[in-house]
Amino acid sequence: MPPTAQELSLLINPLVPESVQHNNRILTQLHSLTSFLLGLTAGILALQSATGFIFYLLGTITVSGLFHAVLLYRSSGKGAGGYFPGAGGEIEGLTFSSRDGVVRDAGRGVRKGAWRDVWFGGGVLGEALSGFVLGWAGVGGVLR
Amino acid sequence: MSFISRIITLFGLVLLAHAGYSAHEHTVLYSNVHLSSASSALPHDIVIEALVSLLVVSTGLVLGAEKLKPVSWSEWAKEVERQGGASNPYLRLEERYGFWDVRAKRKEFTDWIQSGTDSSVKA
Repeated sequence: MPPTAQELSLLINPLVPESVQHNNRILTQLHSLTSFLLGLTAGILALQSATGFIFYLLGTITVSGLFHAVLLYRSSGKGAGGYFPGAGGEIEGLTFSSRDGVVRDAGRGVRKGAWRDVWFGGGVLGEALSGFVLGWAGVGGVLR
Repeated sequence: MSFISRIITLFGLVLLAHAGYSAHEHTVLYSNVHLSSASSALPHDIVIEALVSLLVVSTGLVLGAEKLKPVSWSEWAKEVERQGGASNPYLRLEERYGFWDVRAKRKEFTDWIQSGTDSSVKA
């Protein structure tokens, strides 16, 4: 059976688990901090029900966009592909013959779909959301 | 870089605290007003201050975030090699003894044997 694109990618250009964990931890820290601050702001602005969650969504998108922009700038245009594994660590631009698995092009070492890790990763719909609700309810209760 | 980002974050937090205090004052002031014309909605300057402070704090936090490490093995190994020292987990394999000097060891052993037998005989 010929190898899949993911298997080949991990063989040609393996991932360093330690670095993956480190980067994910930094992203999670950033998102939990900023979402708590988002919650404080939502409480100050006296947002209610769906408006608050839309505010959270917009704020998270802003923070992720900022993070991605800084990442693009610091890696001189390489972007998230060099720092996040994306969809199982598959390399972008890997071409190989599916019959015998001979690799024609090994890509530039950038992972496919890594932007998803930046925009949806870091506990945006989990821990960070609970931090947001905590700050929102807390400040809302104190101010009113 | 980290100093600037800290200053930005601190400035944003001060702004946010000020916005929060202003909102608190506003609610305290307007809770006793019974005029129907006075709206209890938050003034625009507080809203703008809160949003701007949020943007400033997020910018400071993003700029101050720790540096990411490359996930590809080749990139990572390049950095580790450049840094050198204890950050390289394969240091033990890369820095090993060269060839074992058999003649020197043999001579050392002979000397030890001779000295040892001499000393034991003497004793």
